[in-house]
Amino acid sequence: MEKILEVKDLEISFHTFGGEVQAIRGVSFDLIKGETLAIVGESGSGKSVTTKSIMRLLPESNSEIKGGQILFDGKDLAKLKDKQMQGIRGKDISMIFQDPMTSLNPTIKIGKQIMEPIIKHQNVGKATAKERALELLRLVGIPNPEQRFQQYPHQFSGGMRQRVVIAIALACNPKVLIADEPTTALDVTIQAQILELMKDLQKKIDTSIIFITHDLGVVANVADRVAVMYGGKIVEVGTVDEVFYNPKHPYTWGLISSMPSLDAKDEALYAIPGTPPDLLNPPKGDAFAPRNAYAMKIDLEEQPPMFKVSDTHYAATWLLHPDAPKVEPPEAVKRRMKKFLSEQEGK
Amino acid sequence: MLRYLVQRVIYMLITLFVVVSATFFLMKIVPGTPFNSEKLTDEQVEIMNREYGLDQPVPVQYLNYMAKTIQGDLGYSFQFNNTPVTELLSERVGPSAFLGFQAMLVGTIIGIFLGVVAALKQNTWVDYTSTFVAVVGKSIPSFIFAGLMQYYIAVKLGWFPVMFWEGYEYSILPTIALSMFPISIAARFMRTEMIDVLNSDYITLAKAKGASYLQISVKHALRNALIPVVTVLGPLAVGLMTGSLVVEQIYSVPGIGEQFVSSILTNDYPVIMGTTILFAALFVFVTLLVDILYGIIDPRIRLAGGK
Repeated sequence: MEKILEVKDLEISFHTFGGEVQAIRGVSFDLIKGETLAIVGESGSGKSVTTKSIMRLLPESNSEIKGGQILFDGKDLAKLKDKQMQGIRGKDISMIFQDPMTSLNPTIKIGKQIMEPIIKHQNVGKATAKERALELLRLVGIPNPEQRFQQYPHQFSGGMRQRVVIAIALACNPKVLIADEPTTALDVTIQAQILELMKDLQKKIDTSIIFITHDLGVVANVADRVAVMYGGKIVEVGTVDEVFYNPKHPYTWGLISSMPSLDAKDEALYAIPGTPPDLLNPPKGDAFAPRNAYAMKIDLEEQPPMFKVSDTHYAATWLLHPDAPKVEPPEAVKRRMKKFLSEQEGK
Repeated sequence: MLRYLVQRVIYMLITLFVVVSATFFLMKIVPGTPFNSEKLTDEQVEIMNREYGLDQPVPVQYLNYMAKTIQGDLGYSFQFNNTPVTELLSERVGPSAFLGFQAMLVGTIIGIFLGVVAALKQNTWVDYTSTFVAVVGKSIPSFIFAGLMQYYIAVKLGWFPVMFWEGYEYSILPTIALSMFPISIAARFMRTEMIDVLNSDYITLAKAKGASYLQISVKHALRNALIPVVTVLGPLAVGLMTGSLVVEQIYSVPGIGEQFVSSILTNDYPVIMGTTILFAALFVFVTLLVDILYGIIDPRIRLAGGK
């Protein structure tokens, strides 16, 4: 279990006209070599900010890493100079973005865009870079790569563009690949194709993936481990099995209950009540407490630490404290847990 | 591409035809006659009118004029001793075009540079300086710069000639005065576009590839930011090339702007028409040039026009 990336107590703030927004409030996680770690959570929970900070892609003008470390290869990425960071981006760590329609440069040919990181990081000539780029296009399943190489982004469909973005990300065989909601902007059939492609690619090339999504169905499909984020913190982390079959945090329960399910007849789709916390003035206690049906007095006063459930499974909820009353997950969660299990056995 | 060009040239000719016809009739609506000198008797005026065909009904005059124009004959000036209009224009168009072209070149290059730098150093003193230059250049008319420079730089310091048109050094002050406007337009547009582009997803992707600051600005951002800027600069270029009357007057440059105004004042019909044709032709030509330039900068447009 070699750790390739370690994030420790990361704190990130944005300086806005309204004041300091504490977007990330002490996030820690490890990425193990060869695994896919999914980060899930609703909009504004800090998923993208966390991963963008690993790449140091947050706008310099108004964001600040206030504390913590991002350890990669013995270096703290949070403290690297711009120049050093340029040597890591695209080579050791690369990223797939959310919207393929806007993430390619409209005035540069696809081939050139793929060749760029290869020439930059691998010190090879144009001919070699082109060969490698064509190979990548084939790898991500783009037909007629020679012809496609000469085309511009507008001549590609959304799904094809995302394949190109993936090809760019994989150009230098990165050790860490960050996929920031890579399927959100695509329609459902293309989503499935892209997910298949990513699973397939991970087998072929040896890379660790951080997969950001708010779609739990996707998580079950691609991830080995899951980290659930809420209000700028990780509230539960564990293997996919642990988080899906034995969720401990009420927020995770809420997420699982609000998944639409085909066989849930006559059952209103659950929605977590309330709104996400205002990180301009973060709550004193557990950020989820105001929306939590199981909240106790202490939830409003003190932030829960990470309680250990197993060696790989942790959750930040006072319900796991030895003195807390025993609480069963809601019915909807139990039903889904049962269904996951039966599906698992069916496979 | 060829088909597209042919199609565009046909459109250009239609545009020219419409402009020329409209100008012809508008010009005839304006009261007055080219021959209103007090020295001329009524009889003499009548003879002159007959001589130049001005006694005929306007539609006939129009047909005659068009027929000659198609053959390349723009007629003779009433005002300048019967000089052919083509000769008159070709003498005058040189200095104006030279000044305009030079001012445009200087203005665009400096303006784009200022805009790019301002965008890259957003909200720093560099940005504020660039904004200040642009606001000054846009809000103060070029003749004020022309007058000030003429007095302080030419008369007081004696670095450049005060006026006339006798060599390259004579073009420098008028060029600076004329370039202030394109500088400010280019700088403002460029800054806005550049900031827009720098915040786009594909710039983030370029950063994520490990591209350096310089590579990102030059290879990825500049070209995309140029697209809208080209639109405004095209028509501006025509305006400058066909002369800025006041600046030409201040520096006594024998340009086309000065002549255009005097021909309107004296109802010198052939010269008015000739100048209009020249301006209109230049305008449609530059428009075509801008459209072709678009295609070079932006592949999405190239395809749409090229099929």
